[in-house]
Amino acid sequence: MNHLLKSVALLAGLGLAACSTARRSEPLRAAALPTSDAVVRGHLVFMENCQKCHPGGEAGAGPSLNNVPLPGWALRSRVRHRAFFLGVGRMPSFKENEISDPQLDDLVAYMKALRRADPARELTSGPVRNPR
Amino acid sequence: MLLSTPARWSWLPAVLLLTTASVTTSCYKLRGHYGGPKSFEAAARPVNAADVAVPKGYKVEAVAQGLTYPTAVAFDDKGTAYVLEAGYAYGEVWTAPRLLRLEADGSTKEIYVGSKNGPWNGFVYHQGNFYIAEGGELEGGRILRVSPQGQMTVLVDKLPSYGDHHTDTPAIGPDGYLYFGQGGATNSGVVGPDNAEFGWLPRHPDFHDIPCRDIVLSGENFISDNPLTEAKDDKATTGPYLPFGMASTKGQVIKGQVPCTGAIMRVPLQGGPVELVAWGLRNPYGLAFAPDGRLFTTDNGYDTRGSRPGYGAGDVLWEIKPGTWYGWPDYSAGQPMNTSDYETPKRDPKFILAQHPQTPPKPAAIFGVHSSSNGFDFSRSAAFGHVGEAFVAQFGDMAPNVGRVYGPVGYKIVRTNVQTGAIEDFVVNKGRTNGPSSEIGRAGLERPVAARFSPDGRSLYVVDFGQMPMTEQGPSPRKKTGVIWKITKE
Repeated sequence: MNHLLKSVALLAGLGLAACSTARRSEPLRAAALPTSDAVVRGHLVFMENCQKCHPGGEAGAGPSLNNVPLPGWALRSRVRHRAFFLGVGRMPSFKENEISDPQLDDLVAYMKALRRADPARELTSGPVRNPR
Repeated sequence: MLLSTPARWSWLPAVLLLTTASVTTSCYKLRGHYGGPKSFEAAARPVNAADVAVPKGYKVEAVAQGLTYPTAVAFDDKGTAYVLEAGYAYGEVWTAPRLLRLEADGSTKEIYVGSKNGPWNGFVYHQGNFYIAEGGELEGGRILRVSPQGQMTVLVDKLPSYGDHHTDTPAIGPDGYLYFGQGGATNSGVVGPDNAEFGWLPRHPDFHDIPCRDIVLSGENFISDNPLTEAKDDKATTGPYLPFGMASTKGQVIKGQVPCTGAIMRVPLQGGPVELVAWGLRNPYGLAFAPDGRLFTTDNGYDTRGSRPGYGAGDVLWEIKPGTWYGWPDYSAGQPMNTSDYETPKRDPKFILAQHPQTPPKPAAIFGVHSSSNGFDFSRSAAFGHVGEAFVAQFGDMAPNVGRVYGPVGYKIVRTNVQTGAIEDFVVNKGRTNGPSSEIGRAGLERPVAARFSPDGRSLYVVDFGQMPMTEQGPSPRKKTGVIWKITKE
């Protein structure tokens, strides 16, 4: 039940955060990312395992990540367990032989750094979609 | 427990309602069609470089507009820019493929007009001639040599290009050969109703993928609707590497031949037999030699469509090594497809080859699923920066026809470190979300399809194919909406 509660609460938070911008890429962010060893290593873990579905932490085949305020334990749990969000979604799980525990620590450090990077507001405002 | 303590859980329905509402109505909505109804007519496209973001220290400008389906840019030995117009686009629209010289004032001068056999997917200039990859949707792929005065000779013809993908970008190697990619006929080796939707199956009902070397089939077959007959509920059973409606048997050998599909091949510049370089690719669209002489290609990953769909397959940047098999149609980015990671409602894509020529190598980089990562070039000049990195044009997804996505993927230029696999946005539209300008209400990029540095290395030219919304009737490429962008370091 505790797991259920956490999952429901996280889903609610995720839904509420969904419409803030997830854009953090180099041309659009206000400042450079931190260059700690963990962030630099985590960047490469992200590229190998996450980038294809969450390019730059934005939405793609999977939902956006940069605007989702998940704590580190939740990020770790979701990476390891496919059923974390009540089985919602189809993101695969990553076992220790795919992303080791130290790599997972680095990945979380990078994802948090990317999330905290402020997007330049004048470059990332406007409607979500406004088809002509 | 829930019912016995109602006060404690009284907030739960509200949270569930809020969650459901936000997930179903918010930005997590899956991407649908837009831009309908389908039309190929010229559209008024607003163009404003101020809507395009580049890293600090760089500037972007539009140097040509009003092009119809441009796909490539190249430079002669004086540094003059030339542009290709494809002559064909998805959605089944035919125009005249053209080689154009780009004048300083943004106008163009026609150098050569091709026949109705597009799409022209790429070209290079080498020692006084242009070499054009003619996609060959109607008559088969060709490599054309065209002089600056407009005289054309055919270097290669009868390439197997009648399918989903065509003859792709050429590159001249340090060995003096012309290298080119040849796309596959299908999504994943099996001809099906999706190929009728592309338009080619009724034209070429016997066409299918061709392996470059002998392969042995596992005996997997696929039952689908039969779009070639009027009969309702008519079904067809099709095996891989076989014509639509022809079943395979376990252990069946399909003889390899060259030219083949899903491969990099090469031919001497003076003409001659086509030679195989590498195979097991899906659609090796972009092709370029790095400053250190290594050959790389972009390869478009599997779609979630057709008789044998795959899910979650990223586009890939491969380093091409002679003789190597890169995994198609049973691997994606070096990983086997017969796992739950790639499963769809039609279940896992099971192996269709009984034996694999080798374990595929690891990619140099993995791009976004459905990003359509296409033409690219390497920076060679410190005056521009990022020397040795690949600048890749991402045409952008064709969702929902190719699979579901939560947001627009691609529609930008990314720079890629081929040593580490790290990918960074370099040229991208401004706005709260990514996407083509016509969808997000901007006047910046639509669908970048190629990128090439000027001979002095100081400027990156980006070929923007133009507006192509995905309507409920299919792709809707609009004429005269193509743009050439130029990025320089200030």
